[in-house]
Amino acid sequence: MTPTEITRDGLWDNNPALVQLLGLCPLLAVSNTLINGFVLGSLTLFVLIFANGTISLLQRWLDDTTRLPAQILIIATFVTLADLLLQFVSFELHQRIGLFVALIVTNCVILGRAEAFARKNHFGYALLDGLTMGSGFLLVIVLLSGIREALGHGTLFAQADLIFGETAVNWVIQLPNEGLLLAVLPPGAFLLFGLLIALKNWIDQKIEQRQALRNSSTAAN
Amino acid sequence: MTDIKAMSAISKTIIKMTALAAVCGLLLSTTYVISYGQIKANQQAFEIRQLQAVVGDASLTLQPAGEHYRLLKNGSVYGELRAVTTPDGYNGDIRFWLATNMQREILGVRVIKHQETPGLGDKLDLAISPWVLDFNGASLTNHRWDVTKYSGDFDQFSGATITPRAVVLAIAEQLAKPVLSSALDPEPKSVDGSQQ
Repeated sequence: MTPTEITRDGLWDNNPALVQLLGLCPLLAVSNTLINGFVLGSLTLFVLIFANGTISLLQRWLDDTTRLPAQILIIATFVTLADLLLQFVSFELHQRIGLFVALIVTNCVILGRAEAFARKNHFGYALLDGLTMGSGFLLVIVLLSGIREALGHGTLFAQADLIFGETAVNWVIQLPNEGLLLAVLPPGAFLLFGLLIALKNWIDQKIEQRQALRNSSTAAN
Repeated sequence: MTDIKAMSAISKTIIKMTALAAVCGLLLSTTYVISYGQIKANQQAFEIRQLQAVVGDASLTLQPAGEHYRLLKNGSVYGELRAVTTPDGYNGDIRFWLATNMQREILGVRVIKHQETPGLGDKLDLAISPWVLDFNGASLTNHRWDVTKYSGDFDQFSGATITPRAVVLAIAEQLAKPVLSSALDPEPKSVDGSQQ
């Protein structure tokens, strides 16, 4: 695989959330406000990069018996680090989404990338895969939580000061709409996520149609 | 021969996993030790900030009295901060802080834990609705203690009566009780309980 392919895969073609449908529990549960989603997505990205890198470095040293327990141990270590990091930066945010930070360890995206990619590829590629897959997840959770916050609370960037400091108090954008209860509730998360998947598939279909059209026109020439 | 091979494979696995666990443990404990002070400070600042916000008066000092706090002004008892739990909500316990002065007038109320319906009952939360601020300055004598639907003075949320009513009635019940004796105790017991 080339770096371009790895990047395309992580961000679009094989996006962990929209295509592989992995890690949906945190994706749906924490995407209620933009800041919650952003922080959980970022921590997942952090864990994914470091776990991928470490597992790639250790690939020769690990055999079939030790591989899985070692991967889980490494992932759990970085999740605990991420948890401490969040408590260090913002204790209040940790109070709100701390439960889901610990649950990153059970996010199938991470073990999935370790098993399917990191253990078979060079260090640089494994890092790039972690970066792009993590970014793919981050993008989707930020998009979903932005939509849910806008529809459900009628705001954007509420409580950004918890992570970005006092200046971020003024970042809050008040939208003209009233809060729509459904968008805040779990069923709203499912519905909106389904619409996002549909949107991605629709875009893919359009691209395919356009390409088919171009191919047939070149064939006719 | 195969036994020896199997044995060496097992011990190899054990050694590898132990080594990896040791490295991971070292990494984590180092991080923990480095960050512990800051995290502890964050936590205390967070808790005090929350409680100070309930009381709404920075000149008051909070002093622990069991699970409650006594409020001191210039060294003398000014009021109490009481931890209250009511089971009468729509879904599970509602826990809140109730700060009062010695005349049993409310300084502040903050709901700290609830599982009420998001979008309906969660207006208890100050981050979502200013509803709890309606209690500021209220006492048993100057308010009728029920929600408007039951001809009281406190707003219910549209669509949710049970949740706000549980809080209003629980507060009224607490106001009818005298100031906590532990809050009045002029000689605070030392934290380690050595005076018992």
